[in-house]
Amino acid sequence: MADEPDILQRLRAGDPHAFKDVVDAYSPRVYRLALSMLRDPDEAEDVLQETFLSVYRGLGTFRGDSGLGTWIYRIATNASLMRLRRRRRDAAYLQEPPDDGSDLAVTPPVADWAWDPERAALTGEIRQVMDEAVGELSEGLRLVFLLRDVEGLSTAEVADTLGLTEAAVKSRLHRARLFLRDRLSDYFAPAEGKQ
Amino acid sequence: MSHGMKCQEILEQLSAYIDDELEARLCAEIEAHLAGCPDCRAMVDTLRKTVTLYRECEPDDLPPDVRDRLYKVLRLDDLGEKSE
Repeated sequence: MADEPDILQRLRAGDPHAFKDVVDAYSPRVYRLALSMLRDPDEAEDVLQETFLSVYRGLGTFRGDSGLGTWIYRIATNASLMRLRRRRRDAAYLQEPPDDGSDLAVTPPVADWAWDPERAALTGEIRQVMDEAVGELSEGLRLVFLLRDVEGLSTAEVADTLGLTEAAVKSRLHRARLFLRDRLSDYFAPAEGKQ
Repeated sequence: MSHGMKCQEILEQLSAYIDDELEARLCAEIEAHLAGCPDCRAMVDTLRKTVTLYRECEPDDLPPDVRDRLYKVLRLDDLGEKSE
């Protein structure tokens, strides 16, 4: 895709090819985010469509204070959150169990992984293990992890999007990472902590 | 080698440590501990690998039928191929 200032200028001028470039560039990530949040392909597709309709309608008022991608992820996240709220009929989705530290414990021996993500390719099997592990996270931890580590939003942006303090974002991110590390260790270092 | 509070304190700081959010004094304390603790070293290494895995995992292309329906809703289906 072209540079963001250029694409924004073309978007504001109503160039439909510029909008298609944006859709092509961001739709795979938006769909993945919605699917990871909602765990339902039909609802994820609805969110995908709603997101880009909102992007199209909102382009005239987009001031560019945040990056285009951050703005689009925020729209997709809010659309997904509305669906989660509708499912639950209350706001309990972001309430975590008390953080008593019980999920933060070193259980020796901690085995290193023989597999190095910087040297080896991601196989379909590994991606499945990664997706399943994310699916096991509680919603409150999953949303923070997806926005911060998968989509690359800053801590402040995640806090703003989810209505959390930055300290809460950091705490949840840490717990999510430790949980995922533990799950992936079952795959990459199956003997860890079980001797 | 101790696996008591010191390891637990290290563990609580590991995300901030790998994100380079800690002040230098605390980083130095952690690194001194890591030098003598293989379990915490393995924990740091595998936590880093976990984050790297997810950060560098590119999304799949949209399923063709999902993309086609998206184009249709957005009225992009008659625009032809990608522009310059």
